[in-house]
Amino acid sequence: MNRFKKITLDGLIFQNPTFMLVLGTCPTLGLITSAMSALTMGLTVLVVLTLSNVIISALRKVIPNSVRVPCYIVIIATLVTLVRMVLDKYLPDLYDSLGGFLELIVVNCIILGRAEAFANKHTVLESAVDGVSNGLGFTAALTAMGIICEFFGSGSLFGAHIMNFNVAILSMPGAGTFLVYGLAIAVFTYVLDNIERARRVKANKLARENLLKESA
Amino acid sequence: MTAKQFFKSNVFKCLVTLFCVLLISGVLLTCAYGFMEVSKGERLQRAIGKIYPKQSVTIYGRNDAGELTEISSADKDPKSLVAENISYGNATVTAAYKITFEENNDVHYLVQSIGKHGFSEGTVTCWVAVNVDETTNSIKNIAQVSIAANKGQSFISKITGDLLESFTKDLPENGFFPDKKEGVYFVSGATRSSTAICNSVNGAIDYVHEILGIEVTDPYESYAYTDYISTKQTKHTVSGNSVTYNIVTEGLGKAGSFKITVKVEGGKITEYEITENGSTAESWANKMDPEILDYTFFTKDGGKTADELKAIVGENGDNVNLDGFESGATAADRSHATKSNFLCLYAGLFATANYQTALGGNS
Repeated sequence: MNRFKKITLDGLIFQNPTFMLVLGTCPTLGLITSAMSALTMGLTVLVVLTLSNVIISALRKVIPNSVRVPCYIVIIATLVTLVRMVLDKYLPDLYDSLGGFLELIVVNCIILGRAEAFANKHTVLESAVDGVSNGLGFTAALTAMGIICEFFGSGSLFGAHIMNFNVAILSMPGAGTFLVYGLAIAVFTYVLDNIERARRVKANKLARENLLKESA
Repeated sequence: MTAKQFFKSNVFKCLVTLFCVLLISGVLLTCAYGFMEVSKGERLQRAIGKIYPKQSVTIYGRNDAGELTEISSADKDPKSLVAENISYGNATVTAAYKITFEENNDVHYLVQSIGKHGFSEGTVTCWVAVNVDETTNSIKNIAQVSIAANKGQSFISKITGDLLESFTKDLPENGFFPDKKEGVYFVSGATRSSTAICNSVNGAIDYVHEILGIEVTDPYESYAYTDYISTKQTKHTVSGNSVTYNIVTEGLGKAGSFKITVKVEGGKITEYEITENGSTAESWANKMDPEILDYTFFTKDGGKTADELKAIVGENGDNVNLDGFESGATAADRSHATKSNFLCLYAGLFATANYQTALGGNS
């Protein structure tokens, strides 16, 4: 059970693909001007990542090592095309809002990275958990930044107008999103470092107390 | 390597694996496409649904026999009412659909029209919804205008909903919108894009006139030298033996539309003023012939006559490059704005050559 907890926490926090590994930067910078687009992109990546991890893990003993990357690309491209078809048919507005970034999921570093680094070495269940947790980590990161950019950049939240004040630069893909992304990485790393430090201090204190007890 | 060795080799295994992955993916995608194909009819309904949000509409196009037919979401190849692009002077109509509503008895013609003479001679494509009264075969008003695309319009972001709404308020007397009217129909900072939008709307009106069989009489139909004159926007007044024209020219090459006021008395130009210079930028306007820019060319020596202008512009008004043109200015001074010079001279020719016709006709 600890194994799954570790996989989940790694994907969500300690190895968060957006803030810690800085993967999937292209859709991040392009789509976080709108919280809804960010959330949709996150969920789309979650679905593709989970399915690709499961399929690649299931086929890891069948696919020869020398052709694994082309096979992974074909599998991921197939899944992306399927998701694209579903969105185009049933959620056309969301499909339009994602634009070209939807097709670009095929070459998203997170998906290929997890396939190569995790799914081809672990069981189907572990790979599924890894896919979900990394996908959720990516979705949460994108949505949080999307909310910040949309709220301060356009004065709205998920399309609903809230206030008239806005900082125009934050609604611009490029300069504004780069700024928010950079600051978010800094804040996330700072908080994580502090938590880690506090945990280390607590562990050291405990060890010292145990040592003192033993010597006494 | 023998055949047996090949079939047992890693190369063969790799080939088979790749082939199988590709085959399964292909079959899966083909099946999925069969279930989730979005037909052209559905895409059209979605596009029109964005123009008429929250309204239940029925869209009509034409069938292969050219008859009006309802377009459903299952239509694989819906056809617009426009079989081939139709040009109307400053606009080209590329598609049109008849729209009816469940909520009321309104009938709209939704026309996609490309307006010319935008910034740097680019274009703006608009969807124009024209509200018609089928019982009287007339246009009630413009229901809405939305921009679909543009070519090279760097300042199109300045175009606001207010400008597009200004077309929906009143239909001008002659049925067409003037390309520039203070306060409405144009946005400062994007005047050329506004002109293209106005041309697009007028093109849509032209098309609906044709559909409804409305004859639009051109007041300048019998006039000569109208090739580069926007007869829909040009006006003139007669007072005694003088005729004052407010001429709007078409664009030509990189030169945009000019607005020129010309007063003709006794067949000679007595007053000439460029009220709006259509040259694409100030620097180009400054390259125009100085005597044309300060109007002295037209009014000196008692005023230019039609014959004198014909000698420059050509008997048929087709000497666009102004070969052999001499004025007080050197050729180098006007070498970069030939088309602008030509349009100004052509407007003068239009005014003088039609002097007698204007005197005999109505304003």
